[in-house]
Amino acid sequence: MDENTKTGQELYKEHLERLKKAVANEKTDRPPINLNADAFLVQYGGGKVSDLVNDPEYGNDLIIKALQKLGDVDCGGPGAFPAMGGGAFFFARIKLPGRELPDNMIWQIDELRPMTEQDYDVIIDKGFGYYTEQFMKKYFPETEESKKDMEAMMQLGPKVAQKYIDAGYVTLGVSQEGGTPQPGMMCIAGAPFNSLSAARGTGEFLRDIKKMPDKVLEAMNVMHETNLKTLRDTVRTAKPLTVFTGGGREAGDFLSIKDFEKFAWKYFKEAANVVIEEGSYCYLHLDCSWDRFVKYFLELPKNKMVFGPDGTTNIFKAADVLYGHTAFYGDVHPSMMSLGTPDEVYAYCKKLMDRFADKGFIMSTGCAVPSNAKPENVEAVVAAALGK
Amino acid sequence: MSNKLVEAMADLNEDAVLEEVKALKAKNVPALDIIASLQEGMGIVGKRFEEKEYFLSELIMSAEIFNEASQLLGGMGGAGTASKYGTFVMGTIYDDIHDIGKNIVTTVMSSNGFNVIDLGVDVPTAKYVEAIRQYKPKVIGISCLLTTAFDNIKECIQTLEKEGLRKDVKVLIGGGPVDEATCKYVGADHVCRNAQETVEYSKKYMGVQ
Ligand code: B12
Repeated sequence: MDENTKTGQELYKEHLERLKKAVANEKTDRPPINLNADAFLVQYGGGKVSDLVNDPEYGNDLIIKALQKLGDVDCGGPGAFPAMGGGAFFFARIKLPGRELPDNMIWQIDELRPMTEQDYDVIIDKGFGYYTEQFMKKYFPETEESKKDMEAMMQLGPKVAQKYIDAGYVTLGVSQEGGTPQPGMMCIAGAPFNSLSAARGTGEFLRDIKKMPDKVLEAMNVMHETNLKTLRDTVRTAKPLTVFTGGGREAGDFLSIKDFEKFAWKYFKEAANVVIEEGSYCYLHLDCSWDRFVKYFLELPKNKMVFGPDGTTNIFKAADVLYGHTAFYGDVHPSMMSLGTPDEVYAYCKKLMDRFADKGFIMSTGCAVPSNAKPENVEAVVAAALGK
Repeated sequence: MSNKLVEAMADLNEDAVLEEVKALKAKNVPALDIIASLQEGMGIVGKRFEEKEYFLSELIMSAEIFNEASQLLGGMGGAGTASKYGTFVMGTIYDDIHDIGKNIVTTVMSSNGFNVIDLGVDVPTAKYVEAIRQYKPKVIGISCLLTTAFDNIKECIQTLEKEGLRKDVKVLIGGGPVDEATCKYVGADHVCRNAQETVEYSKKYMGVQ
C-alpha cells in the first residue's frame, strides 16, 4: 500500500512503531525522519514565519501541509508558539516576527541576564522556582496581550497536537502511550548548568565557577533536587517515548574535563538516569561540540538513549565509541542546509546511513533546520532516508 | 620582569597575582613593567589554551584577574596598555544576537593589549562605518552564528568597500557556522576559530612581533 492511500491513523501507527524501534537501537526498514523545522516548514507550506505568531493554528496547518508535500516524513511539530514560555526558559525577551520583527524573520531570543552574584543565595534559600517567579514578575508582568497569548496556547496546544497525530506525525518527546499529548507535560531533562548560564550570562557564570565554586555548587544542588523530583513526576504521568535531555553550554571548549565532571556531568547523568528509570528514552539534544565528552555516555545504560549532535560534534568519531550503545540522530550541519547543494546533502545523508545501517538511526539535521535552508536540500534529506 | 608575577598569572592564582602587583608597586616598579609581566603571563595562558590544558572558563578567569590587577595600577588606559597594539573594533552582525563568542574574543583581545571597541550585538552596517571612521582600526571583527545573517556580513563588507574604507582594514570573521566558504562568500580576509587565533592574526596584521 502506498503512503498516499493510508489513513492518518495507519501512518501514525507505522511511524510510531518505526520510531520506537529506532530509539531502542533496533533495526528498522528505513530510518525514521524527524524534522525540527517550524520556521522553514511554515514558509515551505506557503506562509510566513509570522503566521506562527499571529495565528498559530493556521501556521501549524501550513507546517502539516509542508510535511505532507515533502513525502513520508515520520516525525515533526507541533510548531513552537514562540510568543509563549520561551522567555522564562532563556531569561530573555523574545522579539517576534510580525510584531517587533519583519514577517519572515526568525524570532530573536534577547537574553536579559538578570541574575547577580547575590542571587545564588536567593536560590539556595528559596529555590530556583522562586527565583524564576520573581524574574517573571519583574520583567514580564502580566499584560492583556500576554494573558491572551497564554490562554490561546492552553486552548490550542492539545488541538494542534491532535492535528499532527491525525495527519500521522509523531512528535518526539510528547506522550505517545496515552494518545493525546498533554501540554504542560513537556518533559525536559538536563543539568542546572544551562539555566544558570542563561540567567547569569555565560561569561559571568564561567567566572563564577572559578571564583566561587562552592556557592555555585550549593545552588546547583538545590536546583537539581527540585528538577529531579519534577522530572520524575512528569515522566511518570506523561509517559513520553523520549525525553528531551539537553546540553550545550557545558560542552564545546567551555570547561576543562575536571570542571565538566564536577559542574555538569554529575547532574546530567543523574537526570538522564531518572528518565531511563521511569521507562522513557533520552533524546540527547547536544549543542556545540561534545567530541571531548563522548565516552561519558558509556556510563549510562545501553540502548536507552539517542545521541543527537548539532552538526558540530564529529558523529562518526562518536560512533566509534557509542555505536551499539546508543541510537543516533543524524546531524546535517545548518550551514550545509543553507549554503550547500542538494548533492552534498544527499551524499552526507547516505554516508550517515552507511555508517548506521538502519539500526537505531533517525534521519535529521543538526538541532534544527535553518529557516533559510534551501528547499531542495530538505528534500534531499527526505529522499536519502526514503532510499530514493 | 617579575617571574613570580608571570607564573602566578599563568597559573590563574588570583591572590598571588594581586599580592605581587601590590608588592611591586610598593617597590616603585613602573606600571608598564608590571603590565608587561602580566601580559607575559597571559601569553602563557594563551599557549596553554592552544595546548588544550586550559579552556574558555580559564581564559575568562585570566582576563578577570588581569583586569583586577590592572585596576590596582590605575586601570588599563592609565597603565598605557590601551595603545600598545592598536585598536580592534568588533561586533555581532545585524539580525544576530549571539554574543558569547564575541564577548570571549573582546575580553581576551583587551587583556592581550589591544584597545577594543565593542559595538555589541545586532550591529547595523552604519555603526561599523562610523566606528571605522572614528577609531581607524587596522583590524575589525564581525561575529556571526546564523547562516541567515551571512548576507548581512556580505552587505556590510560591500558597503565598507563603497565607502572607501575596505582597503585600510583587515576583516576577521568568526562564530560557529562560519568557515572558509563563508569567508569567500562574504569577502572577508580571514576566519578565526577562537579568541587565541584572533590575537595571533591581529598581531600579525598590526605588525606586532
Ligand atoms: C548559545 C546559543 C544560543 C543562545 C545565545 C546566547 C548568547 N547570548 O549568545 C540563545 C539561546 C539566545 C540562542 C538563540 C538563537 N539561536 Co542559537 N545557538 C547557541 C549555540 C548552542 C552556542 C553558540 C555559542 O555561544 N557557542 C560558544 C562560543 C564560545 O562559540 P562561538 O560563538 O563559535 O565563538 C568562538 C569562535 O567561533 C570565535 N569567534 C566567534 N565570533 C568571532 C568573531 C571574530 C571576528 C573572530 C575573529 C572570532 C570569533 O571565537 C569564539 C571563542 O572561541 C549554537 C550552537 C553551535 N554549535 O554554535 C546555537 C546556534 C548558533 N543557534 C541557532 C539558532 C537557529 C538560534 C535562534 C534563531 C533560535 C530561535 N529560533 O530563536 C536564535 C537566534 C536569535 C538571533 N537573532 O540571533 C543555530 C543557527 C543555525 C543557522 N541558521 O545558522 C545554531 C547553530 C544551533 C543549531 N545547530 O541550529 N542561541
